[in-house]
Amino acid sequence: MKKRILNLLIGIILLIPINVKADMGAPVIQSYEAVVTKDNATLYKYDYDKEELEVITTIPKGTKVEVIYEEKHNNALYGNVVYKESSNYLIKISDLMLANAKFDLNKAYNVPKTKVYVCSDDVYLYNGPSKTYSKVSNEAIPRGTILTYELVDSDSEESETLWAYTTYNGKSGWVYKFQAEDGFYEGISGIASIVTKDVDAKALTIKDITELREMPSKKSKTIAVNIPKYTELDYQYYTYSIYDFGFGYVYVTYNNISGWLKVGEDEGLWKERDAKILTLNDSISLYNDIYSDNKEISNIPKNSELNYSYSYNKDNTCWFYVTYNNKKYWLKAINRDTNNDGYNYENIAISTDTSYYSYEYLTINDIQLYENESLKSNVLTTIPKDTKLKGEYEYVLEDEQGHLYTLLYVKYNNYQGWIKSESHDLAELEDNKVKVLYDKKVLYEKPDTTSIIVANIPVDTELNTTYYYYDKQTWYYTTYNGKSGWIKGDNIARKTSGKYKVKNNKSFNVFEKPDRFSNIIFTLQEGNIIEPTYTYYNSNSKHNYYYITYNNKSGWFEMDYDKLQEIYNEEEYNPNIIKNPNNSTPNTPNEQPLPNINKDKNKNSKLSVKEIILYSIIGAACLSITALTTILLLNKKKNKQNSDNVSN
Amino acid sequence: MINDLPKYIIICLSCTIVIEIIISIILKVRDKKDLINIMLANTLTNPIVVTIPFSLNIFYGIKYYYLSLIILEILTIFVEGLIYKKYLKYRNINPYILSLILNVASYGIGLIINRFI
Repeated sequence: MKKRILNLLIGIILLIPINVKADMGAPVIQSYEAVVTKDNATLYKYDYDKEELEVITTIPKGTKVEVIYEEKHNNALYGNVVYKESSNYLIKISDLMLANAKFDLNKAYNVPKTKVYVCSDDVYLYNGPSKTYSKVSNEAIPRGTILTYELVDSDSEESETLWAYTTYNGKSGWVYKFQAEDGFYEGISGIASIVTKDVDAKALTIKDITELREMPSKKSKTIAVNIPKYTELDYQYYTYSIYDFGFGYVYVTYNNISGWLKVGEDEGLWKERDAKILTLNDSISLYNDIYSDNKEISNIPKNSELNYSYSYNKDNTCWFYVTYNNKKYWLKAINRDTNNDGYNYENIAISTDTSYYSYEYLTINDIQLYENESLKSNVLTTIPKDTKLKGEYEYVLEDEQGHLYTLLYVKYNNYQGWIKSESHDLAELEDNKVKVLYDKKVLYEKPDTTSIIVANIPVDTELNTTYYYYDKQTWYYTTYNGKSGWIKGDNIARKTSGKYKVKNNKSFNVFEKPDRFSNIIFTLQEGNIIEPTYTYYNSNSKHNYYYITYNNKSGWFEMDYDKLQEIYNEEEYNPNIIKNPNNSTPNTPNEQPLPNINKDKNKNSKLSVKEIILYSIIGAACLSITALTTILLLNKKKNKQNSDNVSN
Repeated sequence: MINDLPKYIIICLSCTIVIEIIISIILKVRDKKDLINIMLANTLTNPIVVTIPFSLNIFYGIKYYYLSLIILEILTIFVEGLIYKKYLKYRNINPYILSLILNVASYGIGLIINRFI
């Protein structure tokens, strides 16, 4: 009996890690299992110093390996595999056969519904997100087709995903987004993006263009055209290299001739965000041509502001296509490239419009305003603490000791000048909503725990914060009951947005606190749609928790993308492009509806929640009845034996 | 989690039986049939105690979970006590007290195990 109990105990202990492992997250890149098909297939490792493959060992035919991702070396495709629990081994994809013929769509990731344009002749549907899978059909999807997809192969940024799941002519499969004939390294897509409403889709030629390409590839056939240099063109479709976002192709039309123009190199330029240049001295000149040293206008006055929307880097020089006195010119600037941020030029400063940061600040201390972009220049005035400022231009300064400083050009009262951008002097504008967790918060007058306490804020209070400050710890500037001040950034949940749906056959607990050991308030079931309002990172459990209110009950859940799929708003495409495809397009765009994966999943779903519970209760009742019957039978037998013994 | 309910019932039952048998042995229950009766009494009560509160939590919330759990645990102590009184040879401890000790121990140890899973 003791032995049986021990065996049972061991069995239960062994069950625990199985359950824990089942709950672990999926890898970022989708992996697949494969079987070695070649006798003694070679296993390599890549030597990054020698930049070559090193033979490690051979593995027998029939060995199962897990391919984590694929990479190309010496024009051959290799699988980066896990073998004998060691990773980063490489094996030729041609030496492998898939363990499963089809990819499980439950492992795919949702993205907003995206339309793409087939722009090369070698786009095929595959049975999974790898060329190791077989083709769904040997028929290539015709150039000019518009495909729609909502599923991709990995949960990384959409622009970095390599495969998309789509449908063409009633057949569904995976298309490789980067499969044009130029090959893996150039990474130009066989599928082009379609311009959405929020993209200012313009390109500028920087030389006389005599031919456009039929496909976005250097090997493509060309079409004769005559586009003069410095012509601005609208484009409809675009594609870019996954390795160099500056380089790509755009689909343009000029004098009724359409084709692909190379941008980011010597043919054309992408339009950038509208930005401004501030001249820092009188030595700046303007040119009509980037290939000529003939100055058109010399000595632009200091502090002139010039708009630009194109720039062209060549060696250490950057050419900006600027507007000056309502005419277009090229401004030449030497790139100092001391901090590789691309905005460090001699004699000019670039406006902060180019950045996604707001460059709006609140001064924490009194700071000095300098007349010029030098800390040795005259101090115009001292800006007091608690002043709101906007940095309009940014300039990187290198002092004699080689230290780099960022200077910001600001306007204060009637002064214009430069301040030193020091994190301990400035709090950054960051509108946010936060929620106080666990304990009351102290509102301090300054971002300093020794400063005056303005108020105490009770737990669960929701606050609007306007500035963010970091000095050894994070602080937020907020207003509570009419009093403004600073709260410490710990034990604070931050506002979040997004809409998620619980995946089929998945469910998870919602806790009272952002802690998995707190009480379970309720359980979310498959199909439930939730909109989290706050997020909090629990540093003890190392999990991100999201706060939701569902059916009048509120609580926290651990974010797990294996269980949740994000619901996106549809991207808005330029309607003119979709409805009126260009006449020169080889095939009429043919939008294919995507099958409703979720409906299929419902069809294939084994049991509903109610059914699982009902069957569990029936099972439990059966167990109980069996146990009761056994007790009665066992003891009846025993009683009978006893009575027999007595009668004997 | 909901898909794991049957597995959860089995694990809970197995853990409860193991814990209660060990505690019974510690309390000097030596008769094999007594131990089998304890095991069967748990098989009778435990699946119901696990399934019903779990289901009520899903459909009606945590309050109903705790309420049903308390009621069912008290009923369990009573039912198991009745079985022990009727069928156990062991008489060192009052059968209802034995049932209380065993159930408190298995519930407490279960809580500790849950915290570490």
